[in-house]
Amino acid sequence: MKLADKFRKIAGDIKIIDKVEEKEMYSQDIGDVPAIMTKTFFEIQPDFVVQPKNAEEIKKVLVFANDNKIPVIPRGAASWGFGGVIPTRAGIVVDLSPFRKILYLNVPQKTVTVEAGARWSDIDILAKKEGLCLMTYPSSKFSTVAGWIATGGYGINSFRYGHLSQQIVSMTVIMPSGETKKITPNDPEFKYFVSTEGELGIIAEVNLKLRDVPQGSYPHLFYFPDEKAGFSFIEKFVKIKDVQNINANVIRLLDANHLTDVNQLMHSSVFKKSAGVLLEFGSIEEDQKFMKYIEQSGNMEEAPRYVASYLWNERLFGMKTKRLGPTILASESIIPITKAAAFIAKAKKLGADFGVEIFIDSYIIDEKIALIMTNFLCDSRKKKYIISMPLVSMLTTTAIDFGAEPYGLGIWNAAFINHLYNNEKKHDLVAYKAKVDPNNIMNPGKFFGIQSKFMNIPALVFRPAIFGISMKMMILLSPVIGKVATLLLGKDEKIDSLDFELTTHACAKCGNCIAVCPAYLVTKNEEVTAKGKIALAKKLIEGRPVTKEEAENVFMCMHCKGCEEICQTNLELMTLWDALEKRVESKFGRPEDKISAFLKKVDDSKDYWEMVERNN
Amino acid sequence: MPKKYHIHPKLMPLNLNSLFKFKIERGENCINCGKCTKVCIYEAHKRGKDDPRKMADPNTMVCRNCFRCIQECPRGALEKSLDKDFLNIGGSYWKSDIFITLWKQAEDGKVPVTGAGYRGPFTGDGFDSMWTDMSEIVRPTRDGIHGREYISTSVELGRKLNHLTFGDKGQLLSQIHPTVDVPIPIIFDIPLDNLSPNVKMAQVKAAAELNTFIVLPVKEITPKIGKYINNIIVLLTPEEIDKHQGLIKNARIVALEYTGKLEKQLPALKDKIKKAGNALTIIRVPVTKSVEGIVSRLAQGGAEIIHIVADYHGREIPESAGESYRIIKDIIRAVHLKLVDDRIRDEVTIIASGGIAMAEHVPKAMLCGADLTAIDLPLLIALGARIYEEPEKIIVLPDGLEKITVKTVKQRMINLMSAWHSQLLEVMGAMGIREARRLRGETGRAIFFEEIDNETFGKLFKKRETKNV
Repeated sequence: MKLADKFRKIAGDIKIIDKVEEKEMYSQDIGDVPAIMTKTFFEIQPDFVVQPKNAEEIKKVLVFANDNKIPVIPRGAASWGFGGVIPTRAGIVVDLSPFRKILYLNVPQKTVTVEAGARWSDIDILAKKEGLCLMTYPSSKFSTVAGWIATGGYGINSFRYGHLSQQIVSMTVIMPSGETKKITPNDPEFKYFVSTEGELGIIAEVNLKLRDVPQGSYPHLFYFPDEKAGFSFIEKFVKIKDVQNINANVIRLLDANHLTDVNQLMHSSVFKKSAGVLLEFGSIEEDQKFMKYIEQSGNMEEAPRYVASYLWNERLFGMKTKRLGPTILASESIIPITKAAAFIAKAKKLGADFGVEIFIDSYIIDEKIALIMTNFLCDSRKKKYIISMPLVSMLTTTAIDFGAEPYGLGIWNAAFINHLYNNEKKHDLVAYKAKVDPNNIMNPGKFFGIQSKFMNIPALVFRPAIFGISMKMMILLSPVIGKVATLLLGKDEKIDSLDFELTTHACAKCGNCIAVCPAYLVTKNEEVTAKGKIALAKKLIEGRPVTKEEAENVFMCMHCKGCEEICQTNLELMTLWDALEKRVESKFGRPEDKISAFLKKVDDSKDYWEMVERNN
Repeated sequence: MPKKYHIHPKLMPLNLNSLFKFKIERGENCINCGKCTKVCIYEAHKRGKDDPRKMADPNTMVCRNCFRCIQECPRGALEKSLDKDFLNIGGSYWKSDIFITLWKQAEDGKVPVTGAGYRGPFTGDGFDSMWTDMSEIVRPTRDGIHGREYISTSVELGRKLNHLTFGDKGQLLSQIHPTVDVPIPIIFDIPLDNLSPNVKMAQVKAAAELNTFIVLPVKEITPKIGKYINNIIVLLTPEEIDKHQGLIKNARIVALEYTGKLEKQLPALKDKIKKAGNALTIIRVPVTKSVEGIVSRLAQGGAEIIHIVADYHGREIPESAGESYRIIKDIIRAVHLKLVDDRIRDEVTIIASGGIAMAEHVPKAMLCGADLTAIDLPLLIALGARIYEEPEKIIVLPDGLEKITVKTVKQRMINLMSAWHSQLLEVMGAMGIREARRLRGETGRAIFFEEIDNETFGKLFKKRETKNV
């Protein structure tokens, strides 16, 4: 008997997704790794997907998985690109994205209790109505709370409020055995559930601290001749900020290439072609204190306020540059501020060897370290992509040589585990894993040991020792390999406008659209969202077989334009939907009854009207 | 009691390009949530017919301006503004609001309500400076204006006696003059020249169905129209009387245009008409400076019914350009008071026309002293006609009107009259007047703004102002 059918017998009314075409969405994340590659290495297609509605249902899934010794992969918005939610040995994907209610906003205590899949953006909107707002939040604000706890944690405002883990009051975790535990930051076990990518349990509920809505937003953008000058200004500023009591919420550095890309996206020349440091303050007093400091520092070149504001407001759309790609690849690491400029210089040289332009985005985390993203544009449809992908790992390796730590492991960074955890910590983690998850069901095959098909030979690549040596070799040889590849396969040029085909590639799969999609809210089916429909469009364009049922999902749309409004890459989605609907209609006809049933369902949905009113 | 007079309205949309007061526009940021469909009680908002996922364009026609959709839209996507075309129609007298009101009345025969309430102004020119005294509204009527309470809107046309004389034996010596009853104090005045046959026919049929009258020049009375002679006032010149003996024989009322000569000829002409049949005679007097003198003389000379005709916006026709003019409200009052002074008011019937544009103008004209009114332009406005006053009077009929069936055109006129009739009942009920004929000259039931303004503030301000001058 198929696993899904076996589970269905005990599932009660847990929603199960097991149709092949529907499962496809759950075998990938935001990363642009060709499926052909992941498929070769791993069994990325889950046996089935479940969408639990409460902790009890999650428990049921875990008990079933333990009994049958099959993997369980928790999944949120899938907006993290290191393969953390991609199954490696099939199993059950626990889709927590529809498990997204905001349960209780405690105004006097300034806390909020949410379900795992709650979106940061929704919390912020709701809290603001009561004069509260988020402290540290991710730049992908439409991702899920538990997802970010399990992966990142450094983001906007972390300079002021620290790592996300400092803002967790408590969380309810479901252990692999199915046992429910409420843990607080004082518990010794707390650390096992932060940034451990769902390998030790499933976070079900979180109680988060909030803060008062600040007086306002006062961003400043300063230009510097290069990143080095930028970082030395930052170094000086972070040293005195406590002495002079100047509290910046955010300090961010962007290099000249990044600002040039922003110009190109706007078809304008608002930004100067030089490195920029963006700082943001929350009150007039802070702003004035800072301006006094700047006056004393002498000759500084500041951009007009509106320019700084624009860049500040664009912070949630980090992947907009993908329009120029259509693929963007990134290496993220946490590096000492003192080493950042040197690393960037090296990274740019490495990029140049491979015929790509590296652009930099860096968030300062505290007085000592910065989160640094070295990104480059390329084209996943071209042959050269094969050579572009290892460049990401080379960049991370380079960063590590400068004393950096990798920011997240997943599948693709798993080889860097030794640079994230020292031996003692690693042994501690392994011991805890063995204790709580003896059957190794929780998200297996990730940093605790990649396992692949074919007697595990391909996975050897991801073994730290082998991987480290090969990366070092490639970096060493990059002036030769890179240049030969560039010579043979051409440079990666930026693109100017998008047709339908390019649009499907420019989609960042970031999942912003899922957070705002009313059709998804009601149907809980990712295929009706922009992300899902783009996947369908891609299939149609490539001429792959598409079933009628699958295609008809394109009509389950309110045409609310929410996806277009929120799209990271600013895609012209509404015109794409019109074209897609036309194409599907000519092929399969128009499912009038399905459409009216859908409309009725939306109209009857309490959640839908709540969403409409919330965004009011 | 006689059976109640009732007009039967029917929903009768006219699918020609008509105007709206407001334009509701749906912005690009509409999310098709459908909230507007739920909050609008007039069904101005609906989902698309072809694609129900998207909202259809708002139907401005049915919008009653309650602003609920604007307020409730979660995206603020709806916008409402005065339509540009709407602002362009009308002039100083035929204001654009009048068109909307009449169109709406012609549509369904109901009294239109303004969703967001009336916010003023509460006084203006002409009839707008006159308020009816509604002090009798002490409670809602038990079962509405069409309920059990009996209010008669009928008026009598014809000469009446000042007093009766009796012989020694108590026998009645006075000869009672014949009269004609009209169930509403409204008759249709001469239609425009260039109307299409369907509209002409519909006007006649509407007059017949309402059991009122339409004034028609004798040359317009074809055999087909002649069938409705019971409801036609035959307009002719003194010279035509001999030629149309047959028509006059069947007619209940005929009308003659006033000329200087007519005053002397009147007794002879009346005899001629009487010889042919029993028709009453209306004398149509254009309103000039000397109108009250003319009316008075005609009344003394034995005229039964006098029709004072002001121009299309209710003004006196000036004898020379640039001269000041009186307006219909004041003209009627002047004529009425002159006849009262002459102690002959009760003996004649006065019809007033020109500038009767809205339902409330009918009772107001009657309070000023008219027995009944005559209308022409509102009947055309009911069909979507537009009137421009500047630079000169132009009446534009909607394209394609000639193809609309007589039945539809007629029903729209009936609807309009139904709405006016309802409003007349409403206003009379509120004034505590149960018979339309008692409205005539009942200025005690009216408040004239200029008068109370003067009474209240005159002593305070007017004096000081004059002192400064």
